[in-house]
Amino acid sequence: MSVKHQQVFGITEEIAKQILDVALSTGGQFAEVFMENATSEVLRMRQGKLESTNLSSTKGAAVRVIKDGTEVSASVTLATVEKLLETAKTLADSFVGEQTTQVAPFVEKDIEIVVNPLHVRGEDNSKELQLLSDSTRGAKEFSQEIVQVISMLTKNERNIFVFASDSTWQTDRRCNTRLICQAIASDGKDMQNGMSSFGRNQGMEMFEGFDAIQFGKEAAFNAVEMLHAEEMTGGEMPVVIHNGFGGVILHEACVHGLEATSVAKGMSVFCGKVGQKVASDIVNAVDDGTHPDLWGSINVDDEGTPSKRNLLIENGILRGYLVDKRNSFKMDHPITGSSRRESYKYQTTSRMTNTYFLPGESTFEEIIDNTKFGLFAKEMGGGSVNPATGEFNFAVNVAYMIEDGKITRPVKGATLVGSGKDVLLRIDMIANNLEYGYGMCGSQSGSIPTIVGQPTIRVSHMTVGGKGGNK
Amino acid sequence: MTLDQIIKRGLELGLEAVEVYASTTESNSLKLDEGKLESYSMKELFSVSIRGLKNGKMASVTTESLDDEVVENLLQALVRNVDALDATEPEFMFEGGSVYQPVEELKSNYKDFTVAQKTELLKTLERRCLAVSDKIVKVGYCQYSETSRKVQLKNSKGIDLAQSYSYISTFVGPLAAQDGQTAVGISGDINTDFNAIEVDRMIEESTKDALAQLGAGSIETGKYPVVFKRDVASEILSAFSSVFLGDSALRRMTILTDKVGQKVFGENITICDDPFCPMALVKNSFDDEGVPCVTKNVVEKGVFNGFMHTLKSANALGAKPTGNGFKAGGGAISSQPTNLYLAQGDLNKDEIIATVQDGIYVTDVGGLHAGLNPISGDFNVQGTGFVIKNGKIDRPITLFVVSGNFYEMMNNVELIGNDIEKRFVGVACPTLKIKSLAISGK
Repeated sequence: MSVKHQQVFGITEEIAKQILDVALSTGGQFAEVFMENATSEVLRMRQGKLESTNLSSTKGAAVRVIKDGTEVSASVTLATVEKLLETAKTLADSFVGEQTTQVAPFVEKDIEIVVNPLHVRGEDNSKELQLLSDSTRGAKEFSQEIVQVISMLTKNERNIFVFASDSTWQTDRRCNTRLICQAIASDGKDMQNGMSSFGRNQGMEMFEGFDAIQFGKEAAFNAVEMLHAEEMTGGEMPVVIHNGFGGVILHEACVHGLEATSVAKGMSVFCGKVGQKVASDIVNAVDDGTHPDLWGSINVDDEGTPSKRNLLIENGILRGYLVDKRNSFKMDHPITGSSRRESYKYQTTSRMTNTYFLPGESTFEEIIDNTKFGLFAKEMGGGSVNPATGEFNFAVNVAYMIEDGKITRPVKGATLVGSGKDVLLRIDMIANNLEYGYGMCGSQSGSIPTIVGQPTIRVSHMTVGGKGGNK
Repeated sequence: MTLDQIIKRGLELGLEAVEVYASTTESNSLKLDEGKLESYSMKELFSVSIRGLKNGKMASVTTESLDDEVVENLLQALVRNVDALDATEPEFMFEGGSVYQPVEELKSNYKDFTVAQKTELLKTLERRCLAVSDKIVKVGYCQYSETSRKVQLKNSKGIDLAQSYSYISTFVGPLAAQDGQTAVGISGDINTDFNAIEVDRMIEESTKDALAQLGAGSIETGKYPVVFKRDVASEILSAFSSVFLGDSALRRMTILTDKVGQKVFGENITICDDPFCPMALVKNSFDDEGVPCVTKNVVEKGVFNGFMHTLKSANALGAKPTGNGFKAGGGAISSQPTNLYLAQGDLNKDEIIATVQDGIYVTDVGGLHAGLNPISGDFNVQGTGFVIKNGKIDRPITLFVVSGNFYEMMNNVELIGNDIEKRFVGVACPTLKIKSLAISGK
């Protein structure tokens, strides 16, 4: 491993065992310590000028004990050995009993390193500044209607170390770098926003061969295109959702409802549905944390379990859930390497990594040709879901109408709403053009980088919102 | 290093002024599931943000460790970063010596109660929700949290301020089910007194909401008069509160940029930012830059009076500081409201609904983080609610989209309720009746 835990976290095997023994002293069946040491840097440029920087350093630990399904946990900033021992004692005092579980000898798993960030920080910030000013220039020069450009680069680096009574002894180094360009177009009356975003779990090496000017232009294109678009007229219609970030539909409409956080509590519409048909026959979906290039990938999850490729839906049949250690006892479902947390300040739980529909057999052109009237959702925005009801929504950032099998005029203000259990059954065409989009997913255990992805898909009918028309 | 040593070291490294902002947070939270404590989590968090000023430019760093080596490295990075910044509008650090209006400390008595008593409270909530109806099949969310926070702000120009507060929040979310359809109702309570947590109200509100949504159908696409439940109206106002901020004006990211002094909303609209608002939970005598907070009508009878500012945005736009510079995570300062509310009218919710012949009562919205454009004012959000027929709540409806434009909507508010939430946090709005909005459904 690239991280020497003893050096970084000051914990020997003897000390680790001592802390876990204290935590288990009142009959807990599982105890775990998660330690973290992270830095994060944000550089923000407005109108071509570097306006602000923030550098932050995070250091702390989370301890938890589970007994008969109850989890007691603590997050502490000052994670000295003394503090960890004291915290373990406080947690153990929540229970009454004698020690029944012994700490298993620690075993560091030999994991496959799929994520190996290199150049997180350079000698100076010249490369970073060049990216920011190039993307700003690309956006500004695209059109005179671009009145404001903000470019932002964030770089996060985290070293984590987790040890637990079940023999877990694992470290990992993570890095997430993301460039965002936001352009605002105005014609004096209306203003519209366009964005482009590129992120990876790598250092600055991810920008090798990257065209920042083109990247800025894309943000500007989206803003200008929507500035001149008509208002969407709402109603029910076929919707073609384009590849890449369009996969947010799978993320919101379905997979949040497959996370153990909802399923274990009986708060998901997908409870008890494994082996049953939940989507049309052409639908296959995975959550894959092992893909080397995708920014939702992790070598191990925050419980020290190596990440996996989890098949979620196979030919329309639900195959499994995303499950962490704790919920695995409760649900009688194997762990899936999906336990994640934003930082030690959150309790870890089952989350997504890179989630996408697998390619189908149609081509993009065939899907458009075969659609008489409908919406082409080219660039999706964010969305949300209530897993208990399966009802979801998401915004469409760039959209066009499809009329007589042709993409015609741009429309703004389209929003899609639906119910997860209906929409997956209504997918009637899937193209062969799988792409990925970069997202941050916010949920119970905080905000984490995730990939949403898909080929272009068509949903036979769904409710589209918009304020156009005179009906 | 101590806070004073950090300031001293920053000045030695060539910064013209240095500010430290230290916060200590303790919070505990309990979750119950099926009569059993599912989790009990505790947090003890500490962080210090350091800002450094040089040549009118400001950079910041944040640390959770005060080890000499960590702080020294961060301070050196701060100096490098401040030098690397381009000069934009000048930054300032506030000088000490102002008079601050004192506020009463928000102090909870939660430490006088045991974990067992808190667990018992959650058990009562869950048990009594389930007893309301056979159709309440589960209480999916049953949670109690207590938080106490202490903040210290010091700078090299004489600011030395401190504030602390503590409170309890409780919420419950029963799940109702019938014929394969499910609905969730949520209700919460924020309090300082453990004995005053409004258990009866939470049970009644949450179960009533969940049960009322069972059997929800769809609605025909069209334009309808819309009544927003106060919570929904508050969420929308909150989502658009950025249009009143100095930062947005600096970035020209609000249509109000050049509209100070102009009539922008209907005459019935007054929006106030009041750090001392008696209806609000938290009161602030100073902001995170050390500037005294002041009460002001941001919009008065439809006229836009001015933005809520940080020191930087106030100076750049030639306005007076308003005490609205707060940290939004990280170390940097941005403009934010203190307690922002839309001034009440004199009708209650039922009186407002009684005025609608054929319209929609929106009780919940989803997707506000994505489905709105604070720059253009356009919004498209997922709605849940009821059809109103002849002045009465008719049938439940779901999965429709409410679309409009914030600026237009604020010119089309027909009636304003008298029901602002007690002990609100952040932004509050009473029930609103809008003349007409686009609803997309079937």
